[in-house]
Parts: sequence; C-alpha cells; structure tokens
Amino acid sequence: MADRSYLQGTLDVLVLKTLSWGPMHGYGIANWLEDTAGELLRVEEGSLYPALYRMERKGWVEAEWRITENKRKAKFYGLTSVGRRRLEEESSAWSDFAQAVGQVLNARDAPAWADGASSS
Amino acid sequence: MTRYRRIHGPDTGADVEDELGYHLEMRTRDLIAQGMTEEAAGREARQRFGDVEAVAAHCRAEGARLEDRRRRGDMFAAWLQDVRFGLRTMAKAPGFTLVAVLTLALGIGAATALFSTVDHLLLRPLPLKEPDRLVTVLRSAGEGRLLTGLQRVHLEEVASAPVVEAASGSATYEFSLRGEGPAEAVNGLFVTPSWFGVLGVAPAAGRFFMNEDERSPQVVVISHRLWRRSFASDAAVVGRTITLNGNPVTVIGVAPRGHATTRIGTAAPDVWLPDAARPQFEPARADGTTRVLDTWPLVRLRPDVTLEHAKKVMEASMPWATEDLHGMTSDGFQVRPLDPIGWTDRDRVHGFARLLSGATLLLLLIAGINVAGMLLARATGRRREIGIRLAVGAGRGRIVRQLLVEGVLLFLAGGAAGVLFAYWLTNLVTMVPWTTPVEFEPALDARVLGFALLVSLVAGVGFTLVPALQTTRVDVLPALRSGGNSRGAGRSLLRSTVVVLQVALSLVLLVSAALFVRALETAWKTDPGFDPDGVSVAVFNLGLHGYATPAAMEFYDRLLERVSAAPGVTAAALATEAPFQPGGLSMMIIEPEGWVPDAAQPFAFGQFSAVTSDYFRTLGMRIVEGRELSASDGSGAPRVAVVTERFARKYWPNESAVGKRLGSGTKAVTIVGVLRNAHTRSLQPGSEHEMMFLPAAQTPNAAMTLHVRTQGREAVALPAIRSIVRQMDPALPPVSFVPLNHWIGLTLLPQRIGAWMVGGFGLFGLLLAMIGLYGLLSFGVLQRTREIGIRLALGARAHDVVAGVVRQGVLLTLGGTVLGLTAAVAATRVLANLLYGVSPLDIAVFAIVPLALIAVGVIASLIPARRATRVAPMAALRSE
Repeated sequence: MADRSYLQGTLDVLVLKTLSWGPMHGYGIANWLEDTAGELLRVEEGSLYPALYRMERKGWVEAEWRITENKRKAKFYGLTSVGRRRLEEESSAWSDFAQAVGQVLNARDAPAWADGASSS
Repeated sequence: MTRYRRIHGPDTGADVEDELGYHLEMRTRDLIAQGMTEEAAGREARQRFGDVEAVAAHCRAEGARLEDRRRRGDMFAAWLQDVRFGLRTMAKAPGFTLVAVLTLALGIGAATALFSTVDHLLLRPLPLKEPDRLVTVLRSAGEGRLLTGLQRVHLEEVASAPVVEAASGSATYEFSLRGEGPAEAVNGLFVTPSWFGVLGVAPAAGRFFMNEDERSPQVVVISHRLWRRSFASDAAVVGRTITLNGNPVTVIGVAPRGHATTRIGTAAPDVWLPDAARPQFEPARADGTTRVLDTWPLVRLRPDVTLEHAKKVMEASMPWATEDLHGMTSDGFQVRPLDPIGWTDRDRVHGFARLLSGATLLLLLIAGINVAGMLLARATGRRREIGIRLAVGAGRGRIVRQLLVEGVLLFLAGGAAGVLFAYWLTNLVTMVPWTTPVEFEPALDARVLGFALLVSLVAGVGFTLVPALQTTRVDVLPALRSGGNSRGAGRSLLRSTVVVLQVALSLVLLVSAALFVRALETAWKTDPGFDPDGVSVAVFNLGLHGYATPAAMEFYDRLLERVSAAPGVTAAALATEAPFQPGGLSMMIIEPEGWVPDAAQPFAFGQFSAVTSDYFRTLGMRIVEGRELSASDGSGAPRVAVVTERFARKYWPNESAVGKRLGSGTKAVTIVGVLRNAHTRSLQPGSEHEMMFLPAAQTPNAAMTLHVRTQGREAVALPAIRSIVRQMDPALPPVSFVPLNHWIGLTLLPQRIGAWMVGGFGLFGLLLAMIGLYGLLSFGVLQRTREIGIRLALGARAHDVVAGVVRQGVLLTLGGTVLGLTAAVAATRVLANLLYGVSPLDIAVFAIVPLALIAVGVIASLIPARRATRVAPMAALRSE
C-alpha cells in the first residue's frame, strides 16, 4: 500500500474531484474512491470526515442535510465555486508533479559524474 | 442552506453522531448484503472506519468552530443591517437629524473642549523625563513663611548628595529681545549648565548648554514658540546673534515643542542663558558690591527616593541648611514636587476647573435629554410601524437594538460635529486675556478624540435606551388601528419628565449665571478707595534696556516733569506697583514699633509700593491722618512712609500710627501719614489692603509704572506722552497705555466668563425646554382635537380651553422650577467665594429667575393654547 503521507495532502483533491460530479454524502464519497482507485488508495474511511469538515471551514465545500432514497437523513457535501477553482489548481499541480517525477524516473541520460554504470 | 432543524437549535454533537452513524449503518448493511452476519458486518464496518470516537471528537470540535463563526457572521450582518437602516432613517428626516446633531454637537463639543483644556493644563504630566522624580529644594524658615533658593555653592553640594541624581538651578529674568525686527519683551531663565539634562529633554535644533559655556556665556537657547514666532522655524537660527537687553548673544539651540515646566502661574521662558551670564545683565548695585546670587533649584532625585527621605539625608550632610535665615528659625529644606501650576494659583485653578466642568456636564445633560425627548416624540409617529413588526413576531429586543443603533448613530454624528466645535472653542481659550500666564497649545489629539468618542457612545446608549424601551412598549391592536386613539400615556409622561428635567437644569445654570452677574454688579459698585476712572497706566522696565538704577531714577524724574506739563494731563505719578497691576507683589520684612512676634506670627511682612510725590493726588487717594509724601522726602532726608488705615489699625489699634517707626537703626522708617483704605489687589469685600507707600527717591527702582490722569482727554494726552518718551530715548519700545479700569476688570475675569458661559448654557437649555414644552402641548392638543371639539360644541368658552392648556404648561414649568430651585440651593454653594460677597442664596436672584422662567413657560404654552381654540367643532367631530 502506498505510504500514507502521500495521501494526506492529496485526500482533499480526491474528495474535491469526487464532488465535482455533484453533491454526495461521506459514505458515497468513500465508496466511489474505493471503486475508482482500488485497494491502492484504501484509507480508513473515517479520515474522510475531518477532511470534509476542514474543507467546509475553508469554504471549498458546503454542507446540506437531505433525505436519501431510503428515507434516511444524511449530510450531503457540495462543491463551491472556490472549491472548484481549488480543484483545478491542485489537479494541474499534481499532474505537473507527476510528469516531473516521471521524467526523472524514466531518464535515459546519465549525469555527468556517473561512471558508466546503468541505473537500476 | 438547509439547516437541520432541531427543537432546541443547532446541536453539533448530535449532528456528528447522525452523520457518522449513517456511514456505519450503510457500510454494515452493504456487508450484510455481501453475506456477512450482522455482528461480523458491524465489526468490519467499524474496523474499516477507524477510530470512531477520535473522528467524532475531531468533527465535533470543527463543527463547533464552524457554528461559532456562522453565528458571529449572522450577528455582524444584523448589526450592519441596523446601521444601514439607521443611516437611512437619519437621511429620510433631515430636519430632525440636523437639529439633533447640532444640539448634541453643542453639548459634546463643550465637554470635549473642556476636557482638552483641563487635560492639557492639569491632567497631563509635563513633557519631561520621569517628571515625578523632579522636585524643587528650597530653604525654609519661620514655618514655611520664608522660602529662599540656594546659592550656587550650595547647589553643587546638593547635586552631589547620595539621594540626588542631578541638580540644576534657575533664576527668572525679563529681557528685551532684538532679532531682526523690533524689540519684544520676553521672559527668560538663567540656568546652570545641567538644566536641560536634569529635565531630560532633547533640543529641537542645535544643542543645549555644556560646561564650556560657563566660560564664554554669551549663548542662548530659545523656545520653540519663539522660534516659530520670530524666526519662522528657520534651522539657520542656530549660530545667529541676537541682542538681549543690549547684550549680543549667540543662539545655540531650540527647546523642543511644547516644552514647559509650568503651565499656569509662571510665565514660561522664551530664552535660557547660562547662569554665568547673569552678572552681565543685572544692574550694578548702588554701592558697587556684587550680590550673591540665589538660584531656584530643580533637582532630580534617584529612583524610589521619597521626599521626606531626601530632606532628611540632605539636611544631615549639609549643616548650612538648618542655619537660621534673616533672623527666623530654620525649618531645614522644603522638598516639593514639581507642580505645573504655581502653588499660589493651585486652589483657584482647580476650583474654577471644577466649576466649568459642572456647568458643562449640565449642558451635556440638557442636550442629551433633549434628543431623548425628540426621539420619544418621533416614536409616536412610528407607532404603527413598530406595532406591525411586533405583531408579526419580531423580537422586542431586536427592535430595541435597532432603535438604539439609530440613536447612537445620531450621538456619534453629534460627537463628530462636536469635535469641530471643540476645536474652535479651544482656540478661543487661548485668546482670553488671563491675568496669570497660561501655557496652552490646544490640540485635538488621540486622547481628546477618544474622550469625544467615549462620551458620544455612553451618552448615546444612555439617552436612547429609555426612549427605545418606551417606544416598543406598544399596545399592538390600538396601534394597528388607523387614527391611533391610543393614549400612549406612558410616553406622554416620559416627555413631560423630559421637559421638567430640562427646565430644572436650565434653572440651575441660569441662577448661577445671574449670581455671577450680581457679583459683577457688586464688584463694580465697590468703592475701591481711589478713583480709577480717567487714569491710564504704562509699565516701564528700564533695567531691561541697560539703565542702572540711578540713571533710571534720573530718567523718571525728567519724564515726570515733562509728562506733567503735557496737554490733557491733569496729574501724573510713578509707582513700583500700580493698583491691580498683574504680576507679583513687592514685600519686605518689617518690624513695626511695639509689635511683638509670637509663635503664630514669628515676624511681619509688609507690601509696599515706592511712589512719587504726586501719587495720591493722581489716583484720588485721601489722607485721613498726618500728611502725604512730598518732594522734600528725598534720598538724603529721613526715611518716611505712608500706610493705609488697615495697616495702621493692625499694628496700632488704639493709637495713632503717625510717628510710629518701622524697623530700627539707620534703616528705620517713620510713618508720617495714614491713607484711607483702598482695594488695590481685589474688589472682594473686606480685602482692602495693608500697604505701605515709600518715597520713590528713598527706594529707587529701575522698573516703575507711569500713572496719568487724563480725565477724558486721552486722545490728546497719550500720543503726546508717547512722543515725549521717544524723544527722551528712541531705543525704548513704544509705550503701551492701558486704562486702569482694564486691570481692575481683569480680576473679574472668572465672573465674566462664568456669567457668559453659564448664562449661555442656561439660555440654550431653556430654549430647548420651551421647544420641548411647545411640542408636547401641541401634540396634546392634536390628540384631543375631538374632545376639544365636543367641549366647544357643548358651549365651553374658548377662554376655558386656553386656560386648560396653559395650566398644563405652567404646571410642567412649575415642576421643573421647583426641582431646579432645590438643586440650585445645593449647587450654588460652591460658587460662594467667587461671588464678591453676594450670598449664594441671593433672594433677588432666587425670586426673579424662577418667575421669569414661569413667564416664559406661559408664553410657550399660549401658542398651542390659541391653536386649540381654533378647532372647528364640527370638523373635529367628523375627523376620525
């Protein structure tokens, strides 16, 4: 499983992405993330909620209580315009990062001080 | 946002429970659907979730913070809405707003101006480093009757005492300063080099004195005021040479702005010179010896040294401190803290400040009560609006808050306008010709503005609260019904109380002002014992212009000769001290013949004036025993004096004073005449002075005041005298004459200020009260139009209707008058010693002012009363 520390910073952007399709409650977000990213990104489901509250405080999401199809009360979170902008920024920052890491890891040219041994 | 509504309001804890519970339930249900048992599913759900409790706690905390922020935001939005609404209300009724704001501007402005003055003069510490450690150290004898400064050598001993951090000395002097322009008279100080260091201030330009300056002391430090006034704040003034009393000195520095060691009572110096320069300026003594010069010490004590401790330590190590002085038993040192108000003026100044504060407070009360009344009156018109709002469920608190905001906005606006008014007022203060020098630069700084803000807020809340509460106490149904027959009895009562209070406060102010007027009347009617009308005076200080005393006396002799012959002059004389002359008194120690000193009075002082022979004739003073002074009482002749009756009776109650001697030996003076009692310092009853008059020839002095009696021909005489002086010495500054009555009037300045200011406040208050009364009665008539119409239709006489309204008005005025009289009886007691013998309960004042007030009340009632009679009965019955 990927190191947890990567995840903490990216959890926010993952949730924001999830909500970009429309408002959803915490359980729904957890399920979709598991389905989409699989076991690789499995986190403790509970950690979603502090993140959601934090993002609500920052104004990236807003919360609303609704009645679900099963006639249950659930708290739905929806993206705000500020949140949408944040999602765009973080997404492009992440892909830039990923691209840069990829470039280094897939590099063919050795550095000047290497003695000719190939990289592993 | 859809709030999850709970019965008792948002509950974060329960919300979090619900939310997390939903998640766990759904996960459990899904796991069961995948085939797990309920129990296993529950466990698995919890495990996948993580630490439920920790998450719940975290979320609860965050939720609570969010909830707080939301609530604060809502409250802020509500306040903002109130402010916007309040501003709109103010804009919609410009007349009302203007009147209210102006009224408040007057009250708050006066209070702010007074605070600014009192703060600058009395409350603020001096702009010196740690002023509480600065003291004066004097030698005292005769239980404090005699106080002297220290000699330079003694000052140095004091400076090296263990309790002393640094010491310096000063001596006042008057100078005639010539820079570029004409000569001006300035006050100055000779100081030891450490003076500014002891005070702990830094120069605004140039430098202060150093020890080297003692060797070439032709240097001077000028004040910031002088720098601005005569040198246009030009930095190049440092290094310039100016002339002081004919001596050239170089400017080495400028004192900082606002620098002062005194505020009231001693003129702040404009120039400082090194002590070493003093001998150059003081005229040589007649016998050629040099005086041992005293300085007035200023000492900075070490931290945490008490006055008593300092006194003890210094006395222990300096034996000369406890030597007897001038034949009086020494009390050792007197260590006194530096007081920005000269200690002779202290009580008077504080008393006057308290008086003005009281009057200003009353004015503020009147203004505030008036606006409260206006708000109440306006509230009547909004009854319907408020009734509707209450009926649809608006909280009473909410409406009260909104009304409060409206009111406070008015008061803040009034405060802002008041600050402008205060600025103008404080500038007026500087233009008043105070008798004692007052060091005051008015400024509206943070403290003063803060005061204005505070007063506006407190008064705003205080005066708006009751009307706001009263306004919302509305019977909903009657208010909703159009036409509004509701009596609103509570509101009328409140408005009546407002009128009564204003009348009462105004009465107190008017009574006080009237007492001042009576005092002025009495003072001016007092026979001063001489005839000041037609006498003009001019002060000469030849010592400042390089005249040694013998040369000065010669000048004066010639001057007198020529002035007496000038056109329009009936009589002329010179004296070292004119009656009511502003400035210090000349005193000397005397030993009246046959007088025995005792513990209570170890020795006697006498105030004196050295006069030329025509003095008594010029002033119209009468001899009652013996003879006047004459030309034959010259410098070689036996020394004589004339004393006032009071003086004579004090020391020789049962015998004639003529022939008695003062002092002994060659310096003894024989009394040759007794003068009718005269007021020469104050017109207060019973304050006739004990004075001695000595022949000028026997007590020469370089500074004398010229008195001329011109009896109506000033326009001819005074210019002639001016040209005489110009011819005799063109270097002297132009002679400035003042009618003697002007100096007498100066002593009555507090009473004049009192009469004008307090009277003005009182009239203003009365005006407001009568406007309020008029409004109240008019409103009453309007409300009872129907009733009046019926009465008229049933045959009541117009006269009765008028009487009814007037009676109501008179009752209110009477109520206020009675209340005011009770308060006045208590309040005027504080004025007692300013009233020149008029009783604080003067019958005339206490009878006339209330009657006048009631008369005004009747007039104010008549107008609405007349309007009542013009109610057409049928129209009134039909109107609904």
